[in-house]
Amino acid sequence: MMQSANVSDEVRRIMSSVSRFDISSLESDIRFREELGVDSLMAMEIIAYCEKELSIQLDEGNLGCVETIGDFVEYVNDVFRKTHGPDKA
Amino acid sequence: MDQTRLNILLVSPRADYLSRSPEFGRYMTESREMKTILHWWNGMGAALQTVAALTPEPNQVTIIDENYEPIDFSGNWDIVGITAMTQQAERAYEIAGEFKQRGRFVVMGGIHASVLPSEAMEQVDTVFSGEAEINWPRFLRDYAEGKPQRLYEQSDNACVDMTLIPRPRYDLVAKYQYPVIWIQTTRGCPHDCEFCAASTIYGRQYKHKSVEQVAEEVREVRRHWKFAQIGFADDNMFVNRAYTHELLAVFKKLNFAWLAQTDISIARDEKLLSELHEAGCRIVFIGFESVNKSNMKGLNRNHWKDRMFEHYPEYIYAIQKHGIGIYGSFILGLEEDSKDSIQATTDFIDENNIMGAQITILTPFPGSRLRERLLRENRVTASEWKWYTGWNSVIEHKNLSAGDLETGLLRIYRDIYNPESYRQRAAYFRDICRNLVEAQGI
Repeated sequence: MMQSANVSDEVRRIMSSVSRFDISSLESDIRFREELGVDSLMAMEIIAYCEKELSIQLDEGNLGCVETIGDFVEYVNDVFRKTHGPDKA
Repeated sequence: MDQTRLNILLVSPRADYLSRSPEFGRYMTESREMKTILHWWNGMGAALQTVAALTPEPNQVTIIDENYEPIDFSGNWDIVGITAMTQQAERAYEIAGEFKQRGRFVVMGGIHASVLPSEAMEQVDTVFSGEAEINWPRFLRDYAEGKPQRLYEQSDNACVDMTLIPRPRYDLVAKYQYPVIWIQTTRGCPHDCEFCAASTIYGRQYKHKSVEQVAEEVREVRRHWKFAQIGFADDNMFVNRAYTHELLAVFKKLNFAWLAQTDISIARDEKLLSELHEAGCRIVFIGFESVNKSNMKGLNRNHWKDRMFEHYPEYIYAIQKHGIGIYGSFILGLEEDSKDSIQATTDFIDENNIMGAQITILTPFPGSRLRERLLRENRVTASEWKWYTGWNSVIEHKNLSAGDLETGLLRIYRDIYNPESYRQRAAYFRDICRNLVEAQGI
């Protein structure tokens, strides 16, 4: 099972693939919508890939609290830990 | 003036692109969803950057977008060039007046001056009507010789060959943090809609830049803006399918996300839709115009939109299931609209899970056949261009008062851009994305 650092890397890889921005540019403090340009459809695509690759279920309703890339990575990590147990994260 | 080097300022005037109604203004500031939408429908077309590229060295060009930065009226400019759409025209004339008072030579182009050159000539020294790619260099030569013309018309020349247009000077506007950078690849549209003034400028002939030109513009934009989305400003981007396929193959290699304007015919081509998504197309802006079929007759000369009308739901589904969101454009105030049209528009957008929509009030923009008709019928109620936002009523309608149109417009926006509607659409797109992910992998 994937570890926390690997989860973060995987989330960034997915965000890079969907947004088509270089992964090295996806710094934690970049604002998800205003700077990276994540529209509602792009957000759903990122969620769908995260769910598949990490075997988790994300609630798009929680995206309202997500402001930055770091927030999203943290949110996915949190769900991953709750789903697969803290020892995996 | 230094005869060997001109100091040229190009200006895009400040504009109220949205409704001037205070109630609408309050809604804009209150609605997070609406603010997000408006954030993305932003930026400046490539006209001034193209004019700058057509200006030979050693001339010096500065571009100011007044929506982002105040104008330096005291600068030592030899020539001030202003571009304007109709809703910018009054501000453009104010700017022209200020510069002329200071003795500057002022020129004007853009769609408003192109369709109303006589009006513009009362305000500025020289007017460009139509595409400026041939006439701008000609004007610079004439100016240098001390004999600039009052009017340069496109009809004086052969049609502009887009493959000869130099790469726009995006570097001159890289100082602005635009969320979307607009690139033009094609000009023209075969549909000739009554309300559209673009056909007056570009006609129905369809032409395009070379694939390599466009690729180089994309690379240039990405050099200057780290995260900006790329939008293609063409009125109808995918008309020439052979060119489209070539373009998409290159876009796939360039690996960037983008949005474009198109007609709905793309829905009939499954292969094209897959290619679009693979090539990074995220959003297409499509003019549906109305949810009332009786409005579609005569909307465009070849009745194409009338024939498409009955297919709208299946075509919307076909496009969006490929992971391409639709921003639908709808017009309130077409001839057969009534108060029922307001709720019907909201219902259509919700029932078809359209990702987003831009609704405007029927506006008789100068240069359109619509304006000629409504003027003949004595139904144009405002002559001040500041009201030509598309969100204010400037027409007399047989079933709807100006108040009905403006409050109806606001009601549609409130209904489609509220948190609950957003959640419903998010759930719909989530299912689509799950299906795509299952089918494609990453």
